[in-house]
Amino acid sequence: MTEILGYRRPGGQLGIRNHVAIIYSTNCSLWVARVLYDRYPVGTQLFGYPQGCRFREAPVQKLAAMAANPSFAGALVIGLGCEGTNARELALRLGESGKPCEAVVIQEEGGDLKTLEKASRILLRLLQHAARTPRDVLAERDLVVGGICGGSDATSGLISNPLVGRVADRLVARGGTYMHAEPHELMGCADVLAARAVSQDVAQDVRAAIEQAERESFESGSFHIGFGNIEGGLTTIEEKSYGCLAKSGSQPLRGVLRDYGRPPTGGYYLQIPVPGSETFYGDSENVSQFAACGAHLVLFTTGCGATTGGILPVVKIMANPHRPDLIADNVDYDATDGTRGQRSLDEMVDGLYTEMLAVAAGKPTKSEVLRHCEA
Amino acid sequence: MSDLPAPRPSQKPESPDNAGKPLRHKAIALHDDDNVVTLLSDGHSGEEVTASQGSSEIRILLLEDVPFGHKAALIDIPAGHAILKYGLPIGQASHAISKGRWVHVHNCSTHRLGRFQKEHGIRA
Repeated sequence: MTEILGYRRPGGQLGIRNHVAIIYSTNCSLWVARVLYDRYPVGTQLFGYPQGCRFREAPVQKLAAMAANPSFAGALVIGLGCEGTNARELALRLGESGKPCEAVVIQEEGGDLKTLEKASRILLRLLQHAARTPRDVLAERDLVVGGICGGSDATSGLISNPLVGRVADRLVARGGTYMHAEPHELMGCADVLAARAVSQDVAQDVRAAIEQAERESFESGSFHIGFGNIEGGLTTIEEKSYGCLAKSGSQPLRGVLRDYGRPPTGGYYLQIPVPGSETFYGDSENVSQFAACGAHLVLFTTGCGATTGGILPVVKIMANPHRPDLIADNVDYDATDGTRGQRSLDEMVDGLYTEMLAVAAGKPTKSEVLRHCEA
Repeated sequence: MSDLPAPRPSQKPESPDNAGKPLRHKAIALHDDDNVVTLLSDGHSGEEVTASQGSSEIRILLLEDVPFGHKAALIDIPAGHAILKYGLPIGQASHAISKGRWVHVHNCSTHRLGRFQKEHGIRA
């Protein structure tokens, strides 16, 4: 196995990337944040809180947890000045991780362009600081990996998700941590997951999580199955759910994560976002949620061809053989041989596992190269 | 309950796949209990399709077009019976379905709404 050198943070955790986070505290300050992100692409990541005009505890807590992810070396918060989510207070909160976190406020500096100048100098300093981060060996048991399925079609449940499940099983067997989320796409799966729970408490917790999601779907009148899924051949939310469940692998369910920070021990977990914590939407929001739980990278399956990445390295896996151009542009692991019957899932596990470790060791995924991230 | 959009015929070109590589089987059923197969490439009315089910191979005659990723009935399925995929009930037949017919939103409905209502004593 290629030796993986991680980045050692003040609290002792190991990250696999070394980014300075550029964070916008409200949609008005996104402009400056985006210019900085585009102008200084080496070693920066962008995310924030479009609705930060009003302050809410849950999203801010999640943003702090995202910045605390060990793949971040520090943070620069860009604020407007009149929003409820105070940029300086946010920077102070992020700084509790021991990393350098600063803020620049547009209404104090005197406008977008003045802010850009000051922020650029701070960013330069933060990036130079990041460059001095000590490196240390990262083992498989140190890895925290998230699993997502987005833009699912029939190949997701048949090929890609079972493949990810096997990779997850191997990682967990070697002491690593794996999590997935989306209880709204686990309809009818409560019994199966409860049976895998390591304790009665966990079994009850997972049942409660799925029942809550089912109640929300029922009350809102719509289940999490949409046009692309249906056109792709998925008929019911149950069919989609059993397909989604396949990415959970077969290891025991160690717990339901309802708060942020890295899970205390290795193993397989179900992650539930803290209610109201969403700062964005869609699959890239799921990536952010995993980042807040200490994940290093994400295995992301798609069938129709979801192009989004996230603030973590996203390894995109696709087994739909009818869209080779999309695979060429946006997919990291081509699993179409599984659909063609040319290779079995067992034959493909080594390839995907190796790719995952290569990404952990520094290989950029396509979404990283393209900087395709909505967050 | 939101209206699900009607399925539309696949617009993909007719070929094993756009990369030109052949499929070993045109359809697949993962579990021995399954009463539907999933097409791995567009299937056409009148076509006899080779499907894998577990470690064996079966042939089924399609009575209508079934697009890539969609399902065809392996046996006659009476109305109200469960549609089984992954060995699990993914829905129920809203009409009687003949062997070889396309199985999708027009003849297969979700269990969730009815079952959730029943288990939680909710009346619509």
